Amino acid sequence: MTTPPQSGREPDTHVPAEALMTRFEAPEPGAADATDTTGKGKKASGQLRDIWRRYKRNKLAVVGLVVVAFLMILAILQPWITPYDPMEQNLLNTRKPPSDGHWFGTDVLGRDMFSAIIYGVRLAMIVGWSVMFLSLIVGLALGAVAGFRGGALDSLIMRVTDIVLAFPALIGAILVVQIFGNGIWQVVIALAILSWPTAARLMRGSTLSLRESEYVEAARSIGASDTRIVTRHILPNAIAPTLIYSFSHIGVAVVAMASLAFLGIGVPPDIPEWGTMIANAVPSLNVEGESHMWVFPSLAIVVTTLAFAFVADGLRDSIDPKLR
Amino acid sequence: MTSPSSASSSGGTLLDEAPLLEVNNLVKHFPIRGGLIGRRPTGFVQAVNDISLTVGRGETVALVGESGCGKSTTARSVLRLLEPTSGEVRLDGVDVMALNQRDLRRARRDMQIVFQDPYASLNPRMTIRQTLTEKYELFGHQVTKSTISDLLDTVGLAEEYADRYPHEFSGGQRQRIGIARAIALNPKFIVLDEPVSALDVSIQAQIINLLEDLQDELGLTYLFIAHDLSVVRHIADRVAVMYLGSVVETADRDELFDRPHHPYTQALISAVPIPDPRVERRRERIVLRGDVPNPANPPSGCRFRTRCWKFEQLSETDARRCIEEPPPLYEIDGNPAHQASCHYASLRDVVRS
Repeated sequence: MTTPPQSGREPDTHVPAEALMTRFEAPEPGAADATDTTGKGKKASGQLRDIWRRYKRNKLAVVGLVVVAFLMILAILQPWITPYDPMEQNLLNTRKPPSDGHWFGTDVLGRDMFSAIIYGVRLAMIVGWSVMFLSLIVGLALGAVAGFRGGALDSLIMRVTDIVLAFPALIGAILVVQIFGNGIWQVVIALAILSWPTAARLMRGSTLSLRESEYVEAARSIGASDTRIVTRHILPNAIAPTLIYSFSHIGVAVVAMASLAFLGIGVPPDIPEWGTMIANAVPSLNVEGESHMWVFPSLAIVVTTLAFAFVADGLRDSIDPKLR
Repeated sequence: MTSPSSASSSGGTLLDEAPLLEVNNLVKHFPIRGGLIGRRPTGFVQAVNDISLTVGRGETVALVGESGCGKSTTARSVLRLLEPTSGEVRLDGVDVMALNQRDLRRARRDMQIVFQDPYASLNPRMTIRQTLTEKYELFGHQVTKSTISDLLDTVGLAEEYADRYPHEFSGGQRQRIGIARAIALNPKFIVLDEPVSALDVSIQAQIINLLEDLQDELGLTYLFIAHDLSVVRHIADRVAVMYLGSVVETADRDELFDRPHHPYTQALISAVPIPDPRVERRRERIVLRGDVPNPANPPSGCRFRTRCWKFEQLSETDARRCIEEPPPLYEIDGNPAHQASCHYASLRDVVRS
């Protein structure tokens, strides 16, 4: 037998595909090999650091993240930020353009637009994140069960997703809200009902492919139970596509809520919501000096959706580079 | 003649001692479901067809055959990673087939497997320490700091590797981790499912040597699955050759390589290259024509006859026997340890190194 010239135990020639990819994309030294060779990486932080390193490279995603963080702060601090009570009417001061006292002007009922927009941020965040978590949890659970168990249960769950997905989204939401009645949480439930099927399908797909993987078989070979296999071995490896979908769905949920409100469905009309504000501004569309009434809520919707879309985009590239 | 030459080094195999693993008439059929609402199978892939095997304590039995012949399915069925269709499996007196799911999980401590692909068999989101610790936890064992480092040391890896993720390792290193997972908690029996065929040739030897050392140290019993005969020749005490879901010949290693009787074994051995150009040039190779038949619809009688070089030379009356009558495992030359399932088994001079 010929011995290789290297004297070491094993020439470590294997370069992970991920590392190769980063080398081609980012020529800056240091960044290329954050998968350290010295073994000083701490347990779980290693992967998080990798994700952040890839995330940083997408500048739009970083901007999106800053905006999302800003919106979250606005939403949480809303009661202390808004200069006026967003519900307070002043019929003597309606449809006034932006001024020192009212930065974004006032609406048809003389309510402060700035306060209303900030209040809308709070609504959007509550609804967006709630829809995401609800649909994510339901989608992950049902998708994992369907994919892992297979058989009749799988068919049942998948047929239910077919039925829900057959509804045009907005019509479906209107239907659900009609059933449950108006209100913010009713809107959350309606939107979650309409978005879990896609999450479940994504999760089912990943689960199906991972179920047959050798490391799942390896887990079974060392006596792991089904529950353990799903939660410890399949979920962490299968979650990325579903997570990214759910996150990108936050923006969709915000738009959907606004659309419903624009149609006068969902959020009660007395609550300042962006869609409601735009609906109230419709008569002023072509009136000079009153454009602030629809420009600001529209801008708010656009900025919010774009920010979440950028973040979702960045997450897709950074959590799992293979998904690109 | 019957006792394997390396048996003394691997703990000693006594003929009258009960074998550690006993497999009788193992069958695994996969249903083929067709049609739109196909609940009822339209056929069966006969992946494993009536296989019987025994593996003695401390022994290495190799299961060889070309891809798709059912080697891995056999091994997984023995471990009940796949549920066998029928058959009997006894491991150290325990009737594996009779265990319920709970007891089976507990019994897995004694029967382990090393997988072929070291890139696929480790969870990419778990560090090596987590992967190895999981096994101890599952069997209710305390893990101290030295547990994992001792285990890694046993397979020739340094402790500082423990907190890394699988993608930071080379193929050979990963296979060492896979082996570490298998030997943790001292199992009695390990299936090695082509543990080196995904590795570089230079690293194959290291892993094979590691496996042999571990066998000596820990008294392990191996069922070694392979398609590489030179590896088998190196590590095995006994060899079973599989073709299309059945064992066609089984014998002690030297006996099998020196005196193969089944035409398929002869063809396989004739295909091994010889590292001496002069001998290599004289080597007469038996080239099998065609592909392995569809295991969902195997040939009648002898399953090998469609590709058998001997079958082509038989007279019509002799050949009819191959078509009509499935050959049982015949004892060769009155040696119960050497069996071949061919009606016309005979010695053939095979040029080898």
